[in-house]
Amino acid sequence: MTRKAWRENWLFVLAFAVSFGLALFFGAGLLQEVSTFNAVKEQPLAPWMTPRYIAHSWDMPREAMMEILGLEPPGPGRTTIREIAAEKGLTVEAYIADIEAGIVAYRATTSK
Amino acid sequence: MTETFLTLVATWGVYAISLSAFLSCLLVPVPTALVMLAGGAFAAAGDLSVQNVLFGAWLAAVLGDQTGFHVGRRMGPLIERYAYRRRKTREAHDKARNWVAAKGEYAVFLSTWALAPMGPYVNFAAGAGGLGLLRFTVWDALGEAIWVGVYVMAGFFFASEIAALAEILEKASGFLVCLAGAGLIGWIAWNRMKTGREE
Repeated sequence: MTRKAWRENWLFVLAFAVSFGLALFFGAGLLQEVSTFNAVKEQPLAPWMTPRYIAHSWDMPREAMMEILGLEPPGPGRTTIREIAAEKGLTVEAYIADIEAGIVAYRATTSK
Repeated sequence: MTETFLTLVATWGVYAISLSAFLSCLLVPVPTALVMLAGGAFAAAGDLSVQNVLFGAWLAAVLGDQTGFHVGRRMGPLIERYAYRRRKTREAHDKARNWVAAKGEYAVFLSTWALAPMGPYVNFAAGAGGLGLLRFTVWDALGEAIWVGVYVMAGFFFASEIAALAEILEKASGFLVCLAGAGLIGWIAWNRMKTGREE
């Protein structure tokens, strides 16, 4: 590159370098995310989840999940476990612990 | 943050998803990727109807883009008056307008899905640059169908991993935008240097 070309275009070259560098940065992050992606993970329970969502994520029959949650089938639809815990007068943490214990117990009976 | 939006989707369903899709077309920083993935995930679990999620998000995104387009259309004459004050800006303005009129729909199409972060700007520019309403709407609606379809169905099939999936899609879209930006800047710089040599 001649000195004149550099003087007239340095801003473009700089902008190119910055955007290309950012592309590499995102590309590397993308590769890392994809390589650690696990499609069949059983998700740790969180307050935003709904009964059916937990049943789906943990691959369990809905009826069994409703029983663990202490709900009448077919369940309350789109209600989060935070709301259900509040109705039952439990903290959501305590409720989550109950559900986890229930899942373990259910699996113990079905795997026999 | 993630928790809050997931709770909103659980509580308000298609309304939350549609509102989020609409607002993200107008530069409001809502995590629409996560929201649409969650819509797909709740549909997979049986809490939402997948057709309603797809149609609601698509319609809202198209309406959001229309809003940006019409704001641009209104602002067009104002920008023109400002640009026409000086010869150099006038030439740049006319060049940009001609490009938008000739090929604007391709930019609109790509900015709805592959280069989604550019969407709000492109809608505005398409309106201000005088792209026809019909051409804008057809290409925009097509592109939004891809965007909504990919995100909602990804959430549907990978319902347990929507947070990780949101990260992946965010990085992928950052990657594509930066790469497209680098390509465009490189191309302009290359042309400038080539014409500079010939002079």
